Amino acid sequence: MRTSDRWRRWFAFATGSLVPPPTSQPDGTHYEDVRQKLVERGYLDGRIEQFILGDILAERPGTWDLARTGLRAAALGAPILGGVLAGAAVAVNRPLLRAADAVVLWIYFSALAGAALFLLSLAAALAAGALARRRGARAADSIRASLLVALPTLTYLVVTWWQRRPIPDLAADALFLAAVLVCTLVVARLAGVVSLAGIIGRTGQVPDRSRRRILILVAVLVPLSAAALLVRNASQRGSAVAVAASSFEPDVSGDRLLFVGVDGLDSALVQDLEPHGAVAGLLDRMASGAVFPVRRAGEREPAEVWTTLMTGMPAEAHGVREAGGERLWGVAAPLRRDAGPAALEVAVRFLLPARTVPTTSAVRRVPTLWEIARLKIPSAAIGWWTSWPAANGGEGGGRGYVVSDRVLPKLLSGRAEDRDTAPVSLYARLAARFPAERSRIRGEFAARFAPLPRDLADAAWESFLIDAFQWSTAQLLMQDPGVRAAFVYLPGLDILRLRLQDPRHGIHDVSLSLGSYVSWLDGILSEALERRDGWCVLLVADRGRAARVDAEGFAVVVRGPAQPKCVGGILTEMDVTPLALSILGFPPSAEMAGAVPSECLDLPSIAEIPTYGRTGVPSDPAPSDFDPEMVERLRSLGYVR
Amino acid sequence: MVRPAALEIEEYLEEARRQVEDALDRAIPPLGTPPPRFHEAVRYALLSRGKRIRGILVLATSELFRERSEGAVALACAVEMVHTASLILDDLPSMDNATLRRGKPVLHRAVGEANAILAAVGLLNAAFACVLEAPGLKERVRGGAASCLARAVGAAGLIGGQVHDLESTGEKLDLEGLEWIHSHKTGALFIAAAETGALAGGANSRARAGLKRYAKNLGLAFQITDDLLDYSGNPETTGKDAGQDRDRTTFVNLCGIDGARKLVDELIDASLGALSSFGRRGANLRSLAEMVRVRDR
Repeated sequence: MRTSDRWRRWFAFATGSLVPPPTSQPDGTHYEDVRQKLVERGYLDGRIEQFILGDILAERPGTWDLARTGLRAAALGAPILGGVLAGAAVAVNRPLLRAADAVVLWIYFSALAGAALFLLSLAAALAAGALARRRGARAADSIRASLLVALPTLTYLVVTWWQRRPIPDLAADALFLAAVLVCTLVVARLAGVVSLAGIIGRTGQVPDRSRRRILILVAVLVPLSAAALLVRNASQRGSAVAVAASSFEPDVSGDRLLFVGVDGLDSALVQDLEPHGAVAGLLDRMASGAVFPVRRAGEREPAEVWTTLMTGMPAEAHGVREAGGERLWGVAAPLRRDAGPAALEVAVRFLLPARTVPTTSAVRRVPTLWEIARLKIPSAAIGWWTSWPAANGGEGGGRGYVVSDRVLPKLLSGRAEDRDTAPVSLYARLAARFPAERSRIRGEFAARFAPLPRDLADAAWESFLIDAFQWSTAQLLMQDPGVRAAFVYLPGLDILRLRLQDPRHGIHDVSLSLGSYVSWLDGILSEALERRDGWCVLLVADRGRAARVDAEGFAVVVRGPAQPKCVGGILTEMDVTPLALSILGFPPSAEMAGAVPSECLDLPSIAEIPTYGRTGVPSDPAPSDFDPEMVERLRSLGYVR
Repeated sequence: MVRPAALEIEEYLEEARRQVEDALDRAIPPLGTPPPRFHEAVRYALLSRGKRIRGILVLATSELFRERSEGAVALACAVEMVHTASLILDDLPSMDNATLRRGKPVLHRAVGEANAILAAVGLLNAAFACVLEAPGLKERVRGGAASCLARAVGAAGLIGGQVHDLESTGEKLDLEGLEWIHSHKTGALFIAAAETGALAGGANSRARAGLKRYAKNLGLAFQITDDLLDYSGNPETTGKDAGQDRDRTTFVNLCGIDGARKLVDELIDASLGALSSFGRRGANLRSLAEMVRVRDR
């Protein structure tokens, strides 16, 4: 039908005035066409239209009527949109959440989506009404209003999913995008219906509209099915059920293992500082061992990177992605603040009942290297991510020591908890020696960093304190002859490099500061690599947060199975754990994604075991994981934003 | 949804129909009143046994809100008078040139064309007199009902529909044209019946709008069943000539008998949906809609 004819009919329909009747013409119409035309003529109102618009088609609705239609549309659309958002949030946070958490998230997201839908559809209806008032109601006005809401919704959902999706996954992407498309159609349809209220309110005229029952059914079912599949997929991958470690017998007749993790060190930095002699010791010792470049993709948080390095599994399996998460009331595990296709960060900050909690071992689903080691041999772990609450081994295990990542802040604040170290008595030992240790560290720092401007020295002090404390603690624990494996984490360089990115610092001062720090670190690492009393050293360096995204880390094996002066192939993050296990004489597990490098190492082949176990998704939050001081400290170190 | 038992529904409809017919009988002068020929014509047309669906619609609508009142009955009579007037005019040789109406020869065949025209005009005036003299109703309600009825009769209603119907005689109509005619010739009076009933009951604007939607869908369903009866109905039952519409565009030849039946079902469902906010109180209106769904005359 021509637009002019349609307009003439609607004018007659809406105003009741006399309008010349339509021209007769032969027509071969069928039931569906007839039905559709009747719908357009205001017959056969669907239940959705009836629900949203009520009886306002017959009269000019006021502002309150318009608001009410917006509320009704939001009530219809919110559960669908909320379902997709919750499904995606669960998928992004896998494997941390249970089905019950998905329900709670669905409620939260539905509330947020409802508010957004209400405002968007109201704005679109007002815009459509204003436009219609200026030049009369037209058939496409309702569609224009739909587009006004649909386009931002579609863009928002697609862009956020694309940016935040954990790993490229064609099936999940296709599923989500299908759900997003259908969801957008639902939202657009609802906004279109609401816009009728706006148009009628401003003009008194009822524009064309149509309705297809089957489309509505599809529009409701597809997003909800997709959300259900996303949740199911996420929970299956994460496996919410705890699994015990397979039995195995390691061959621990070889050297003891010292594993040193250095955050913020990459080969580009080493090359830059080499002419200044800042890494002379490190390069000298590296030449006596096997060296492997370590490559990882993307910009990720240290908590995730180092948990991946220490578990041999991706974040989708171990679940750790950030130093701190947002605990929503009713949801067992903390969520990534930027997780999922929703402005969760804004929502949790201003709208939802949430608080920031540090990531703890309760979040991690799989065991780390030090936890695997202590299943059979005494070990010491110092300062690692997700090492709190500290526990020192299962039954029949090798026991040993755990100095959690909360010990230094607790020593500084003088407020300790039983779970900061394992065994608990270790904390008292550390506390007793801490004042002297701190003085020693302070003295050493003053001697090395005296030439630095005060602000740079202050920036370096915290890094220095952390690394020096953790290294001296490792040395202390390694004095125990029973300890057969020690794992120490040195994050100071990464913290310093991040702080030095502040544009207030001059380039000369920055390189001076960095050079001084790396030079001191070179001394520590040289000392570590030089140990000859039955220790094999595995040094793993990661580029951290401040380096270029293409910068490579490296791994060095000195003594033990390492062939001297050998440079091996590129390792991935996932290869480090199998490598460390092989040096220890432990079998790799079938769940680990990486493999032991075949070159530069004389390692016997050990048959893999099915699993080193997996913890289930906790039904309750870990007790006292809420620690405002710890969160503040993580924030000051740049780990929590 | 609570449905009254079938017997209760039939009893209700029959009782309401009888009350409307009794009231119509009382509303017009008895036989013999001068001019006798005119009154004979009016009574012949008005008191022929009909379904009185529009009158019942007025009563059932008003009863959603309060007990049946004499005022509502007067409004029902007015709507039936308008309807009868429209039928008289519709049947004239210059228009549809029909022969049978309500099982009897059409009025102009019985009393002559001139008397038939006068009877139609007289009935229209009597209808407005009924509205304006309806007992127990406030002036505002009477005024509203008169205005509503006037709109339904005028160019935006019955007359407009008839004009287009005449203009399209001998031509094939498209769907828009057909709907335009039906919504004006049939739908407008159904809507007016529901609106006047709602006014008599004291309904608020929201309830009136719901009832308007009910009547709009019901009116079209009624017209499509008319088309269906023209094809497959028995003239003895319907009281009208069969096959009158064979050469005209109807919903039956637009989408077939099955398609037309499906449309009737959907329209009735839509009209029932419009009653959802009335709950149990809407039982009689639902029965009326169900009656249209299964009507055979």
